[in-house]
Amino acid sequence: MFQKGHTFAVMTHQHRTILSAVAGLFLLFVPLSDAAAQAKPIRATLVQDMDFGSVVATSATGTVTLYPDGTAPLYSGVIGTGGIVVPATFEIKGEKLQPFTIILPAAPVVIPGPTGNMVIDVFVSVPAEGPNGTFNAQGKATVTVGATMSMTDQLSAGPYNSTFDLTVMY
Amino acid sequence: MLLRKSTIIALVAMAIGGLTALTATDANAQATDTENALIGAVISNPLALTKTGDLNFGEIAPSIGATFVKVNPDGSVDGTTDATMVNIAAVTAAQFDVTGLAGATYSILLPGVGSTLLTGPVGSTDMAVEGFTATAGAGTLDGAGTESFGVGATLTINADQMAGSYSGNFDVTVSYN
Repeated sequence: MFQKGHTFAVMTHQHRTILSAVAGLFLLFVPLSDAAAQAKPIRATLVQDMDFGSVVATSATGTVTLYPDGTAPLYSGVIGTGGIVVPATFEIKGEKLQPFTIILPAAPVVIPGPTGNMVIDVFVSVPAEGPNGTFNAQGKATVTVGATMSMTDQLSAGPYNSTFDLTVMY
Repeated sequence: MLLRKSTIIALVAMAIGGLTALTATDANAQATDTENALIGAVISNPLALTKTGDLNFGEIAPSIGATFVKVNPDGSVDGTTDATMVNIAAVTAAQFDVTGLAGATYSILLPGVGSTLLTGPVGSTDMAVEGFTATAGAGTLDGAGTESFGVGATLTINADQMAGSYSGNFDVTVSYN
């Protein structure tokens, strides 16, 4: 029953329904970002730490080089005296068949000792640093990281330990 | 066209879900990862060399012509010696102890020709020591990481060598190989 003096905009049930549906459609058309479009997060997991084993200097200065491609380690002015000698290995998981970028340490790792420093430098990887990784059809990839350790015959005996980071990204 | 109420609710719900996924932090957490690894090395005990005895040619009788005394690494006077030895008991080879890694091999570096002279009293002529030799077979550390070896050499006494006491020194170097 309408009262005198009031004006009503009477919308039929049908009109109200159409207006609400139009509002919903506008929300749906907001574009999604690239990140949301990649279904699987990239994840790096350590498989094997980098290890230079046990060494003794045979010259005033020397190096041990670990190669990421499976080539045997190179000793110069140093001899190996046991232990595991291996580059580091990481398993990377991500979106199958997608490429990814590998980032290695930018600066040398310096391991101080009582009589001098051991230096780990020239980090190299397989695949090479940069946008060179590719996931296989199972969404997996392996990154191996080698480096060169430099030492002198003045370094005192004992363990020399440190860490390094591997970063991967789409 | 008339849309039913249930359909409208579903459309709005889907739109809200899509907006939530667009925050910047969510995008970065999916697109990069950093993993830390250890780097390890152990420096073993270096090779150490200690002298435990000097090389002593003993007392030699002077002679008109040049003569020589050859001392073997085991301290004996070699049979080829043509000098007259007055006090053989005083003859000793130099003695060294080596320590390092058990089972490791090493090389022994001895002085070369013309590098070692014994000097004596004022006015005397220097005497050359050459032909240094180390104990045969030396160069492998035992299970305890030790080895001892002797060093002998040949001393040349000049013709009419002035009597007196003569002395000198020489270096021996060992290196892992």
